[in-house]
Formats: sequence, structure tokens, C-alpha cells
Amino acid sequence: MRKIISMHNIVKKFYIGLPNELEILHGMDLEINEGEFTAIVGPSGSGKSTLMNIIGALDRPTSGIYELNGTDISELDDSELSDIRNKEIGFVFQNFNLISRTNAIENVELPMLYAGIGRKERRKRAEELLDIVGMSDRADHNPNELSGGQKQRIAIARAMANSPSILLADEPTGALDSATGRMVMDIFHRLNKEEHKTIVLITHSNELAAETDRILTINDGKIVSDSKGGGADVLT
Amino acid sequence: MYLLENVRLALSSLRSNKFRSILTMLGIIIGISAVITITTIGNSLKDTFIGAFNSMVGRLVFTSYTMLDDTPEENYRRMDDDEYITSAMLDELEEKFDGKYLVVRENMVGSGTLRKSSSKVVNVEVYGASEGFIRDEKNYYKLVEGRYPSEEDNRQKKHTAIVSTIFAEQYFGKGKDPIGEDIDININGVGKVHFNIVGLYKLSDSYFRGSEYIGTKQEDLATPVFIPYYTSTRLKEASKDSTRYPRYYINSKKISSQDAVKEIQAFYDEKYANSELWIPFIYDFSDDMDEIEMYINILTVVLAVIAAISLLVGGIGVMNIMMVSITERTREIGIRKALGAKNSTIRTQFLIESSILCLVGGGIGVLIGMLNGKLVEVIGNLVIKSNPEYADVLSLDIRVSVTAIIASLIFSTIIGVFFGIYPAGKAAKLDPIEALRYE
Repeated sequence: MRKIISMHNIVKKFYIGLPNELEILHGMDLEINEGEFTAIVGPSGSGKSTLMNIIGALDRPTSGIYELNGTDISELDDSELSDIRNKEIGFVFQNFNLISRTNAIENVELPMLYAGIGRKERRKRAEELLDIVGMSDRADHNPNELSGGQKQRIAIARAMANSPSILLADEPTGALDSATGRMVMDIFHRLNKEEHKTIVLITHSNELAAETDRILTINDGKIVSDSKGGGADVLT
Repeated sequence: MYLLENVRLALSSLRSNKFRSILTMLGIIIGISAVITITTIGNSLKDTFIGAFNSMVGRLVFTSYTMLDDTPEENYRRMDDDEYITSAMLDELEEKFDGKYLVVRENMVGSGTLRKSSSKVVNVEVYGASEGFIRDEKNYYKLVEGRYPSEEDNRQKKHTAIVSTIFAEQYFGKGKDPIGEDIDININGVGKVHFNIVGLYKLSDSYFRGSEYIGTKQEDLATPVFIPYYTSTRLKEASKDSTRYPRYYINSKKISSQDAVKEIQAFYDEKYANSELWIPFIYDFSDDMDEIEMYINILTVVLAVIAAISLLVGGIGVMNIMMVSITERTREIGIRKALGAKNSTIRTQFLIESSILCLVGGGIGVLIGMLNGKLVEVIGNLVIKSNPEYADVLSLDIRVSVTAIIASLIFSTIIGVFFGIYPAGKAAKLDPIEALRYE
């Protein structure tokens, strides 16, 4: 199976050279295969967010090699990282992070706008994506007219816009009640199963993690366990 | 690529904060409207002055005399009578230029009376006038029907006349056409003379502002009857010095007064080729006009520059509000970066936003400036109308300068870009992780 994420000896330090220098990730190795639905769990302060920022190309590791879909992104500059985020990563955030005053379909189009895709093609693809998440009838609505579950579905459609290598979901159900959270998780499962999307789910809920193929537990900046999730049995 | 999207985004962000946007734009609005108002009024004032000047002396060339440059001082003396320009020279000049330059000649013959019936007498003033005189004085005497006494009338000393509409009503009655009618005028010191009416003119309002006419009833007014100049000199000789300082009316719009000066000067230079001391010197007022025009231009530019300084203040206001806006939208910037917006994309977005802010402000300023110009026009013309002696030569016609509008819009956009550079740079450099975390 093809590796989408390949991390070797990733170290992340903050306040480098200052008295309060802080090492968050201590030489982490991680490989994630194409089509895998992986959950990363761990308590607060374990380095989950830092790892997510590095996986999502929002931040560079202090040292180590990180290959995303075959490209070493540890050494890229800001502009190249923007391109990677645009084309290879689909972010889904806990608090949705839709752009206000911009309606649903325009939010979905945004990554395609930054990718330089033409207006008509953008609109067509955005309509397809809204259809996939069942939000076609809310295309013209602004985020403040939508419920949390609806916002998150728009956000998932937006994350899928440029067919990224991975969907990176950071506590996607954290701000939702259990019923809508369930619905969002079902969408992830469907995308994973039907479209073979590689999904990385960051959560502190063991219950949600159990649904996935693989559970990585992080503690104090290290992977302390790598186990098969319940989803692996259910789905295969 | 993102231009259209960015413009749309900028407009929607303006709309969503209408009141704040207008307050922000206020500096730009006031600055631009002041610039437009000042340049509009300046340009229109210039046009008005030039128009008034042209209608008064712009079509005229004047004569004076000067001593030859190389005259030794011991030869200085006053002009002799025979050194002045003669009536014959003027005839020759008119003939040579074939009606291009008309000498302004006038000869008062005297007051006259016409007996309408046994009880009713109509008074007139009889003047000999060249075509040049009537054309030059067109602000007073407007031909409404028929023709001027022609050069041919003049040369053949014909007894043709043009009369006022007031006279026509006094003598022939309302609604009667006097053209072609014959009249006999009893002229003081000359006697009864017969004339054929060939033209009808209307006296302007400004003519009646002369104090001597105030309070006179229209039917008692003695209005001028113009007859050909040489017809008049046969009836009564013109005073000896009436031709000494002739004025010339340029009877063609295509000829500038500078060219007329050159041609007429050349004519006299030839005539006076053998002169020992005094020669005619021909001049016009275009230099003075150029000077006035320059002063108005300088004044306009200085005032406009002062007004433009207020744009600087407006620009600082725009910068301030952009800083606030970027802080408020830190999270949005973070999201955009997470979705793949490059630093340059974010910078462009905010630069366009501040430019649009200033451009819209500039546009509103232009409209207000135009409105101000219109207001000045209306008030100015009301003032002029209440002073009819100026009404014939002065009229305020406010035209907004297209150059000023375009320059203002470009300048306000430049202000937007200039004062947007720092805030947009700040937005572009935001760290996406920090920005996403911003509450």
C-alpha cells in the first residue's frame, strides 16, 4: 500500500535558544497509508495539536523528515506550504471555521479559487460536493443561518474541494450534540469507504477513535501505542 | 486572477459595516470634493473671464505710435499732424484685407426728429457708423432683421439706415415690418434727409443701464439710427482726430488677434517706410489675458494642493480602520491561509479593500464636488442677473473638468494603496496557527 504520510524522527521545539526552550515532539516516526482512517488520541498537552499542525503543513518540524504524498515538506517556504495545504490537505475544524458573510457554496469554492480554478468549474464542483454532504439546498445560506451540523457538513465539502491526499479533522464533533456528531462521523466513514479518502481524525474521545481503522495514542510527544481500531474489523 | 473576487469581497465588507465605512471615507470624501470644487470653479472662472474678455476686446486690435528705435535723442520731437494715420489709409487697409479687418469708425451727425403725425414727433440720434463699429458693439446693438449698412453702401455714400426695434414701434407701430420703408429725418444743423431702412436691431438691456435713460418712458426714448460712415461725413464732417487712433475689428473667428497685429503692423510698416521718427504701433490685449489666465491657474493649483493635503489625513484614517479590520478578521485570515491562500494573496486582498474604500470615497467626493460646482453656478448666475450691466458679457458656465475627475479618482486609489501597504503587509505576515487560534 502506498504511503501518504511518512514521518521520520520529527522533533518540534518552541522558543529555540531561549531559556524557556520547549521540546514538544521528541523524534516521532509515523507512517499512514493511503485509504487509512486513522485516529490520533491523547490527553491535552500530549503534542496532538503540534503534530496536527505539522501534518497539516501549517508548521514545519524543527528537525526530521516529513514526506507528504511523496514530497518532503520539511524544507518548503511559506508560499510552497500554502500550495501543499491547498492541494494536499483538507482541514475540518472543531469550530467549523467557515468564513462569515460568505455563503455556503462560496466557502466551498474558496480552496478552488486559491488553486486558480475557473469560475464555472468551481461552481460545478462545489455543487457536487454540497450534494455529497447533503447540503445542496443550503448553498445560498450564510454560515450564521446554519446549524452546527450543517456548518460542519459545509466544512467537510470545503475540505474535499481540491481532492486532497488527506482529510485532517481536528475534533470535528467536539462542538456538536451526539446525534449530529454521529451524522458527521457517518460522512467521514462514507468518504473513507466510498471515495477511499485517507482520513486523520484527532480526538480525545476513545469512543470515536474506536470506530476507525487504526488508533495512535500520543503521550508526552511520543506515540505510545499503535493499535487496530474497531472499524478495521467492521469495514473489512 | 482574484481581482474580481477581491473587489466583490471588498464591497461586501464595505456594505457590512456601512456606518464605519462612511466615517472612514469621510476624510477622502471631503478632500476630493474640495479638490473638484476648487478646480471646477477655477476653470469655469477662467472660461468666464476669457469669454468676457473676448466679447469685449478679444476681437479688437488697437493703434498707438512709437518712435523708431535708432532715433538719436536730439531728434526727439512731438508728432506732426500729418504723421497720423489718415482716413484714406484706413480705406486702403480695409480694401487690401478685403473685409477681414474692419476699422471701427463712428461719426455723430446729430439728433433728429421725425414727424409721425401733426401732433406726434419721434426723436432719434443719427450716427455714421462703419460695419466694424456695429459688429464691435454687438453687445449693445443686436441685429434682428435685415443687414448692416455694407461697405458698398459706405463707398457709394448711400442713404441706407438701420434702426432700433423701439424706433420701429414708435414710428410705424407695433407688429409692422420697417425693412424697406423710407423715412425722412430732420437732423439738427443739417436739415431734412431721406433714408431707406435696411436693417433692424435690438438694444440690449445693458444699454439702458446708462443713467441718462433711467426713468424715460420707452415711447419717448431717442434711439440711435446708424447710417454708413461716409454718408455721414458728407452730411457732417468728422472731427479731425477721429481717425488718429483707430481700432480694428477682426471679422473672422479663425484669425487670432496676434496674427491681426502682425498683418496690420506690416501694412503700416510699408506705409511708413520713409518715416523719420514716428510710426504706428499695433497691439492687442492677448498678453494681458495670458497673464490673467496664468494667475487664475496658479491660484487654482495652489488651492487644490491645499485641499489635497486633507486627503493625507483621510488616508491615515483609512490606514487606522484597516488595522482595526485586520485585527477583527485575524481568524478569517487564518482560515484563508489554512485553505491555501498565499501571503501575497492575503496582501492583495487587503490592498484592494483599502483601494476600493478610497476609490468609493473618491467617487462620492467627485459627486459632491460636482454638486458644489452646480450650486456655485446657480448662485453666481443669480448674482449676475441682478446686475444686468454685466449680464451680456458675463455668464457663469460651470463645467467639471474631466481631467480633474480622473486625476482625483486615480489619486484616491493611490492613497488607498499607499495607506493599505502597512496593514496589508501585517495581515499577510500573520502566522496561520496563531491566527486560527485567535478569538
